[in-house]
Amino acid sequence: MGSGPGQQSNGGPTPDRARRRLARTLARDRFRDYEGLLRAALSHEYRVVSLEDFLFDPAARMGERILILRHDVDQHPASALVAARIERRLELRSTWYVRWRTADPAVIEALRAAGGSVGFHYETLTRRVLDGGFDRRAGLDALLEDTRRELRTEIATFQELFGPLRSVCAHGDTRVPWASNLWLLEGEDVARYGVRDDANLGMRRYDLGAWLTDRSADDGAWSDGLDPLALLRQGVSPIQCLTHPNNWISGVALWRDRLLAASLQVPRPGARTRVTRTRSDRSPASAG
Amino acid sequence: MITVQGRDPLELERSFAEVSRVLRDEIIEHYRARGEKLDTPAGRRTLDTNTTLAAQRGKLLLRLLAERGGPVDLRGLSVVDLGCGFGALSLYLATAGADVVGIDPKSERHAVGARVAARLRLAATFRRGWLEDLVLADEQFDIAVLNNSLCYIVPRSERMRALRHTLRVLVPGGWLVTRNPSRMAPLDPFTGLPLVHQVPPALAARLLRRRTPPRSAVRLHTGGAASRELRRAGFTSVRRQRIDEKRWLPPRYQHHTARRPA
Repeated sequence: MGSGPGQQSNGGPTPDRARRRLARTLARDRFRDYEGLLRAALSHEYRVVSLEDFLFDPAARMGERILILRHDVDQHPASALVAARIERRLELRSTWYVRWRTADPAVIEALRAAGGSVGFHYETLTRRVLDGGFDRRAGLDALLEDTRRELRTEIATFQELFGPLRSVCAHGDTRVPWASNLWLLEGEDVARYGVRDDANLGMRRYDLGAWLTDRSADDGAWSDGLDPLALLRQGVSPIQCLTHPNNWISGVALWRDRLLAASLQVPRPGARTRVTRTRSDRSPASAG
Repeated sequence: MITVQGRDPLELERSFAEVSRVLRDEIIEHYRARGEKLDTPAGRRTLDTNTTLAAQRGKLLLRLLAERGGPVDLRGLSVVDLGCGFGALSLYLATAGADVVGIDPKSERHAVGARVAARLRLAATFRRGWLEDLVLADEQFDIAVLNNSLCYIVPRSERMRALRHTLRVLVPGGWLVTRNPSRMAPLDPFTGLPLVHQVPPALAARLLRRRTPPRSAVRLHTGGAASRELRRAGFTSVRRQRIDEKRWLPPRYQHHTARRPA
């Protein structure tokens, strides 16, 4: 039985729902909007700094209006290059947190060459939970202790493969909403892990005027319904702007990347490949 | 301090001569501080364009407005100079009595103009901005000037955005005056080579990619195409005004005036 006008839906796909689901897939890239946002910040006389500069360079925290750039490269490493090109054109620097799956040597080199700083986007805890490595009988504390050791090894491996790091940042995994990777470093002496700070923990030391986070929706909405242009007009500061470049790329490019990742052999972390595409979540440390 | 001279052209010329001298010194200092050479053909052109030639250009743009029945006396009027570079034209218009806002993406350039304005107490302020993403408030200016700046915006959609922003910041009935290199000029205004300015921008970039110094990416229009673009953006009373003395040659630059509908 179909659901005509005036009838209750039987729960099957409606044209509206299908359109919503397909909207992201069919969407064009929105990097022009990102460039517009950065230009608006500069036009409103914001000082645009990378998150690491904000954390580690007191001079970068000077000024009445500050916009802090952070990118979490969660998927599709090539998308980071597009955002980096825009920032380079505007002579801006930002901090890029890459996961193992997006840690493409060529991309990391290009991001650094564009003036950006690269950090490690760790997901050691959630990956372990997803792998079924959580023994409920042993309890969460034992899991955290064990996973912290793994994280330390992972950070060392990442530095070995990609050069020195100043900061790391916890990745949020929607598949494991009850667990936060940030628990691993909360209350810990981060220096013992071979880096100066964790991005989220470090930013807790400062009163932010606003925290902008992009969403994956095709309409370009921001989390909590925030309007970045209105914030800039009002002179709110400091603003942390967290974007995921894969949210701004076209749906077609995302699908091309997914197809490549599914059809090509998974390269070792740190290995150079001819094709830039999403890799595996595994680190050599956890694989070992 | 420069005294505003209103509509007396000779007085304006004399007053701007002093502004021009100060600007010239500041530009030389700007290049020296950055370790860039001015003693090259391009450097000398930059210096002339921003000093001695600025007065001629400013006078010309004011004449074009006057010919169309636009403002003759700039005193009390607000003007936006979109793509102002070092701010020479902004300073000229401020010397003529206008309250000027100069907009340019390169802040280190318009900082030069800002220093001159501050030193000579001229009513010219400068802000970093992009024509395509202009953040100025609506209906703020009596006159908008696009002097040799629109041509540097290549994508058609971006040009349209820039023109619509320009329309938006003008008061109803406000004037736009533009000056841009013409596609119909015999030689490319940037390189002096034939034909390259008549091919699409992507092809021109490919043809000249090994050239030193590199040629900027530009989109040049014929006079008619530029008029149509202005109309599409919402301007009315669009008119192309020919000013070249050598009438038998197609003009190197084209000039348009237009209005925001009242």
